[in-house]
Order: sequence, then structure tokens, then C-alpha cells
Amino acid sequence: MENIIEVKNLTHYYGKRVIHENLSFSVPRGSIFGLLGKNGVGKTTLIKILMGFLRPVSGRCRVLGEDSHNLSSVARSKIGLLFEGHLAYEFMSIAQIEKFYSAYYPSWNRDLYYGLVDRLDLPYDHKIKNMSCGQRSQVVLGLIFAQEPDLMILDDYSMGLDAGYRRLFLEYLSEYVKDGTKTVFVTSHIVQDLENLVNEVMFLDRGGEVLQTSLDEFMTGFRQFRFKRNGSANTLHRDDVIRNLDITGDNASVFSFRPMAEVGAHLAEMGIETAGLEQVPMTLEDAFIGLTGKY
Amino acid sequence: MLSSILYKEWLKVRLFWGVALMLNIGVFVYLFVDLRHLFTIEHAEMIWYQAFKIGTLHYAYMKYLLVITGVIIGAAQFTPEMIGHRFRLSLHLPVRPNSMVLCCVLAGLLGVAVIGMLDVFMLYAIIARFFPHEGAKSALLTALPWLFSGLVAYLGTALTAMEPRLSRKFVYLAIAGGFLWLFYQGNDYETYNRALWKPALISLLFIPSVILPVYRYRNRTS
Amino acid sequence: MVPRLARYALIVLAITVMSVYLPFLYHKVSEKKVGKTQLFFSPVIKKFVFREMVGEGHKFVTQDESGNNYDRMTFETLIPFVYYKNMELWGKLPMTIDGRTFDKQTIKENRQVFELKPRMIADRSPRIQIFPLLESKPGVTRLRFPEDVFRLTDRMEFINVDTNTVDQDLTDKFTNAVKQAGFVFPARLTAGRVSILKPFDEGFFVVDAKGYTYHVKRVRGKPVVVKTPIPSDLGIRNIKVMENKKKEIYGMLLTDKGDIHLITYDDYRLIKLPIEDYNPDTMDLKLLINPLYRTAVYSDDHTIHAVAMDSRYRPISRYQRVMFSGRTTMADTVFKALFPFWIKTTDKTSGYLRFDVIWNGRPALIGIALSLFAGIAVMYARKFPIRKYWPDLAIIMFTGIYGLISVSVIEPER
Repeated sequence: MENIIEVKNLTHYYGKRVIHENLSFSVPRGSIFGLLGKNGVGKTTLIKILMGFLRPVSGRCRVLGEDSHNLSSVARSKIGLLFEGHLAYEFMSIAQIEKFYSAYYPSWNRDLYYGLVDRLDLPYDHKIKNMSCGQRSQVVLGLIFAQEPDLMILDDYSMGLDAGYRRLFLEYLSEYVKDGTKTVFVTSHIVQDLENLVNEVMFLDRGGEVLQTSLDEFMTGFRQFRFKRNGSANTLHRDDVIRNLDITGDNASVFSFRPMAEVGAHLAEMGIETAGLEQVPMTLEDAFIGLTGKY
Repeated sequence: MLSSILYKEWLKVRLFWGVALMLNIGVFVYLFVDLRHLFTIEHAEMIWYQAFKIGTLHYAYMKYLLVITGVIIGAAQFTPEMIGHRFRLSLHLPVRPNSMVLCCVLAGLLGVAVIGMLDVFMLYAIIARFFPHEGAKSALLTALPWLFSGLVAYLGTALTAMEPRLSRKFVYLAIAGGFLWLFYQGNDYETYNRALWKPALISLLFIPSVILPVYRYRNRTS
Repeated sequence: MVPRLARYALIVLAITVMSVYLPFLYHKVSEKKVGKTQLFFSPVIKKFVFREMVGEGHKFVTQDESGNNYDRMTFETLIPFVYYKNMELWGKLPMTIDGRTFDKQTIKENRQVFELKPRMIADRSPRIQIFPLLESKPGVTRLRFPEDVFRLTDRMEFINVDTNTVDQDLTDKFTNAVKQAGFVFPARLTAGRVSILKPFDEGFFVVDAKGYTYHVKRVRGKPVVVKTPIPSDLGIRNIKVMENKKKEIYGMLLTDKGDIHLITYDDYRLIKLPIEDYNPDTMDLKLLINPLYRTAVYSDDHTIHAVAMDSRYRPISRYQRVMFSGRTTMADTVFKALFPFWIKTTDKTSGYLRFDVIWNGRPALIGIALSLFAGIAVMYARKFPIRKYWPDLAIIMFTGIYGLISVSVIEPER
């Protein structure tokens, strides 16, 4: 399968702080790729690099087969880009911004834009700077959909959106990717939204640790086991088997990619009593926190 | 595509362009009132003597007018792009970044030049109302470097605004400011008649130079 | 490629700006007070004497051309026609030179000073070609400006200052008068002294299209036009009208060849001054007339020349010297070594700005070599491969310190 985004050995620092180190991943055509990670792990930085707004210290990024630092106009016209915070030209009105952008994209779909924007029930001469965050996001997403891009890059689309707008957006997005030829690269801090959307995920962690997998594989392979803790649980620590742990009151939880029997045996080996060891079902958000920790 | 960029630039600057236009017109209205007042309180032959022999420039307060205009338009054009890094929106447009920026800059230059042309017209008309046409022509030749400095002020503002690094902004500011001052070396009339073409020609280099901050903007590492 | 060119565009701009202001600042910092040498011909000892500033503060020498030093008082008594007021104070008037006796009144009446600086030459300063033609016989003691001015087009056109419109009557009157005298429009040169702070008015000297010089005056409101016998093939570049009470000389006439002629009241007869090595574009010229001698003194920044003449303008003695202020100083040498060139914007010999590149010649090689060295060091420290960034070094090679500063501050993009 053809890769729409390809990152090889990407390394980037801010000063001495490592943001990415030898990061490699790829996004195949038709996939909906979720980039997950807590604040400050470099999600936005990665997108800036992918879109050529930042020069990485080393490594190679290709988007639509072109060097991300020298994307041609043709390539850029195929990429719908949502900037963090729903950046838009604030000085334009609803109608003006549509008129402006329509000139650049050959297959501009005006109806898609107004389909979204009309729901705002605002006059077309309403200025973007006078809009709420949610209203603005609607306009920006409308513009991106109208562009009918092959690749959508959405940097934290959910920021500042209430539940209704988020739901609406997800509906549009599902519609957009329905035929399987469009690729989406998305980051969000509301992890649960992605659960029904993405089919590939990548977890970024501080210091450049990465886990890339398909959503199904992750949701089935990554497990949480709970047991009643007693004194012995104090020696519990992370290792190859125990990816993470969480102790709350009487309960202890361990997170692992291994099956229950193996984890139980491993705990026993560590001398930990595992009374009532059971697997607990997780949402994507639970799993995300399980993997990366609460803080 | 070109018209679309012009459209965007126009939306951005129209209010400030209007303000600058009113400022320019206001100054020339004042010039008219001032001269009319002068001719009512003083003998015309003395005023003409001062203008032609002594070299009094009765229109001297328009000296920095187009510089102010250039800065206003430059700031109006590029501040909204720079706040919150909205410049990325423009850079993501499916146009070559260099062409896009040159287009913006030429649009701004046009905006300044239109006001400059209007200044030329107003200056000539007002001076010719009170002095022989030789005086009006001389006023134009004298004001020409001031008008040119308006274009340099605009380009300097654009250059400085687009530059991502603060320390480098000061460098551009120093170059633009220093160059600007080259158009203010004379105190008498028509002192630039023979040499204006030299700084004017070199100042054209400010136009391609705006590519550099854009390149630097796109190639930041932080 | 394009960003590289953009960078070089900025570097050229930076170099331009620096080559104007850095030398300017250098001069501001290093410049010392220098007075020009004052040179006179002494009627007492028949030698040139001068007073020259030779150091900081008020260090002067007062010498004659043979190198004899004089104290201040003696020096002044050597040129009594200049310091006649002091002579009177010291009780030395009247005095006798060569058997002739001079009192204060005679000296005062027979002193005249004429001056021509490069800036005063018509083609070296802008001048709006609009002039007032004063009434020469106003009937009152003070001159006043008329309510009209004239321009010379294909006629002598008068414009009323109050209405800013052409005064047809006056225009016809003067146009006819000058045409009757033989004047052919358009005029090549209009020369007069526009002022009311002068003892009397001599009107204008106008050179017509054929090269003939006409003297145009307004007497009791009527045109008085004289076609002068000044030759039409003289190549007149400038006429400086003097209006001196003595009414001996109308003014000084400069030709294209650089000759100076005096236009006399003796039917406009010309007297050519016997000056040598005079360059009107760079030198100030002064003609000092006293009861015994006429001295033309002319100098640029470097050398001062003088010729002393008798009352019939025959040369008696010549002298020239390099002034102390014209000598090359340490600061000048450092300047030339530091800056390979500089842009001269203003020019004290002209009313026009210049923006000329002045090359400092060979000493600049020192500065260039040091700058190159520093440039390579900077590149090395910043890990820019010289092989790739050689154009930066080429820039330094031609522009020295300006290039060094420019390419280091506006460093290459990696």
C-alpha cells in the first residue's frame, strides 16, 4: 500500500530539549491515523515539520511523495490543513473567506462549506473575529471539506469545541472518508472521540518514545488487570511485562500487552499476591492513560 | 490566484489605507489653508522671494507623510499575518511562497504608490495655486525623494514584520531606517535632481529581499 | 537559490547604508578644527604673508612666503589695508607706503572684496528661474521688491505676484524692448543679485540664444536694455553681479574654460584675471582690492594659490602652498585603510547631492586583508564551509569592512 506520509529517523530539539528522536512511521493511503500524546510531547511540532513550517534537526519526511520541506503547490492543494486553535483570517467574513479560498482549489465544493456554515445561522457578512471558538471551527472545517483534499491534517480539531460541534464534525468526517481513498492524520486531546474514527494510532511520549499500531490491535492487545492489593503490592514496578501500574485505594491495576496468565505468573514471581486478578474492559481513553500514565 | 491575493490584501488594509488616505488629504488641506493664511498676512512678493531665493520649503511638513503612510500600510498588511503565526495559512495556499509574498508586497507598494501619486497631484495643484508653475514643479522635484522614502518605509516594515527572529528584525530595521534617511540629506529645493536615481535604483533591492525573511520563517528550527 | 539572492540583495543594501554612515561617523569622531589659511599680499614688504592654523586650539603661525615669522601685531601692520581699524587704534594712520599717504577714508573707499564659490555658479546649484526685476531708481533710499517677477521663455514674461497671472502689458513692454536691442530668445543665462539689502540695483545680465550678453534694467518702470560688447563666443558659464558702490566693476564673468573676467563700468570692457591653475568647480576665489594692489586668492581643500596684481591687473607676484589643513593626517590614512570606498552624499561645492562612490585606493588593501581574515575566522567559527560560501568572501574582498559586517550579521542560511 502506498504511504501518504513517510517519516524516517526524524530528530528534533528545541534547544537542548529532545522533542523527537529517530522517529519513524508511515501513514498509508486511506487510513485514518490518530496521533495521541499528552501535552508537550510534540504533536504540533510534528505537524509543523510535516507541513514545512519548521526545519527538523535531522531526518526525512515525505508527504504525498514529496519532501515535506519543499511541498509543491500541487501537493499543498491536495492537503487540507487545520491549524491548532482553528487559525483563520480573522479579518474576513463568512462569504469573503469562501470567495478567497475557492480561487485556489479546482474542485472546490461550495455546498459543503455552506452546508456546515449555514447551521451557524449567522449572516454571511459576519466577521470571523467576532465568532466564538466553536463557530470559527465550523467555518474552518467547512473550508477544509470544500477543498476536497486527499489528505486531511487536523491538529487538535476538538480544542474549544463543545460536544455538539464535536459530534457534528465527526459525522462529516466519517462521511468524507467513506469511500476509503482519503487519508486523515488527526491529533486530539479528547481521546474517546477517536475511538470510533481512527484505524491506526501512534502514541507519542515525552523524550521521543513511540508506539505505532492499529487501533484494533491496540484495543485487543493492551489489557488492564486489577487485583486487591495488600502490603506486597509495594514492590510492584514497571518492567518488560508490566507496562504501567496504578494503585488507587485498595485496588491495584497493571497494564500489559501480555495475556492474563502470563501477567499473573509474572506477578507471582515478583512475590505479589494477586487475589481476584481480573481483566477490566477499557475504553481508548482508559487505554491511553494506561499506556502513558495520568501525568 | 493573483486577484485572490489582492482581494485578501485589500480586505486587510482597506480600513488603514482609508485612514492613511485621509491623513494625506488632511495634511494637504492644511497646506492649502496654511498657504492661504500666509498670503493674507504677508506680501506675496516676499513669500515668493523666500520660496525662490532663500529656499523656504512651505510644504516641508509633508516630508514624512508618505513614510508614515508606508509604515501604516505595511503594519496593517503583515501584523494580522504574524499574530498567532497566521502567516502559515498563507504559506499553505497552493501557490509558491515566494510568488505569494512578492504579490502581497507589490499589492502593498501599489497601495502606497496610489496615495503617493495623489500627494503629487495635490502638491502640484496647491503650490501652483499660489506660485508660478516653476514653483510647483520644483516642489514636486523636492518632494520626490520624500515620496520614494515612503516606498522604502513600506518595504522595511514588511521585511521587519515577516522576520521570525527578533535580533534580525533590528538588523532589518537599521538597514531600512538608514536607507530611508538617504532620502533626507538635502535641506534646499531640488537638491536630489541629479542623484535621486542612484538611491532609488538601489532601493529596488528591497523588493526581492523580502524573500529572505519568508525563507527564514519556513526554515525555523524553533 | 532565490533566498540566496534575496540575502545578497539585503547585503548590498546593508553595504550601501554602511558606506554612507560609517565614514560619516568616522569623520564626526576624528575631525579636528581646521581653519583655512588666510593669505594676503603685503604692500609693505611686497611679499605674500599668511596666517595658518597648525594645531589644536588656537595654534597659529603668521609667516611670510620666505618663512619669516611675525608676531600678531607686526603681521597686521604688514597688511594695513586689511587691519586698518586696528592701525587707527594704534595711532598709525595716516600712513605712507611707497611715498603715498593713506588715511582711513581713502582706505575704506578703495577696498573691495569679490567672491566666487563653486556653489554660486549657476549650473552647480538649483535655482528656480523666476526673478524680480527691481526698480533701479526707486526715488527713495531703500530698494523694495516689485509686485511682479519675470521668467524668460520665448518672451520676457512678467507674473503678478498677487494674482499669479501674467501681466500682459509689462510682458509686451519688456519683450519688445529686449527684442529691439537684438535679443534672441530663449535665454541661456540670467544673472542678477536678488536682494533688497544692497546699495543699489544693477538689474540683470542675460545671455541670449546667440551668446550675446544684454544688460536689462527697470528704470522708472520702463525697460532699459543694453546690448553689451562682450563677445558672443566667450562661452559664458556664469556671471556674478556685484553691485559695489565704487561702480568700477559690474561683476565677475566665468567662462567654460575657467577664465575669470571682470566686467567693468567702462562700457562693459572685460579684464581677464591672470590666474593660473584655477578650477572653478572646486575652488573658492576671492579678489581683494585695496588702494595699491589687487590680489586674487583661490583655494580648494588642499592648496591655496594667489596672484598679486597692480591696479591695472598686471601680475606682480605669484604664490602657492599646501595648507596645513590640506596635509594628510593620521586620521586620513586610517580612514583610507579602514574603508575601501565611501559614498559621498553631500558636496560643499555644489547645491546638488551626489551619492558618488569615492574609492580610497591602495591603502584600503590593508583593511580588506584584515576583513578577509576576520571573515574566514567567522566562517570557521560558525562552521560554514568556505568552499560553499566563497561569494561571501568575494563580497568582503571588494567591500572590506562593510562586507565583513554585512555577511556576518546577515549570515548565510544553512
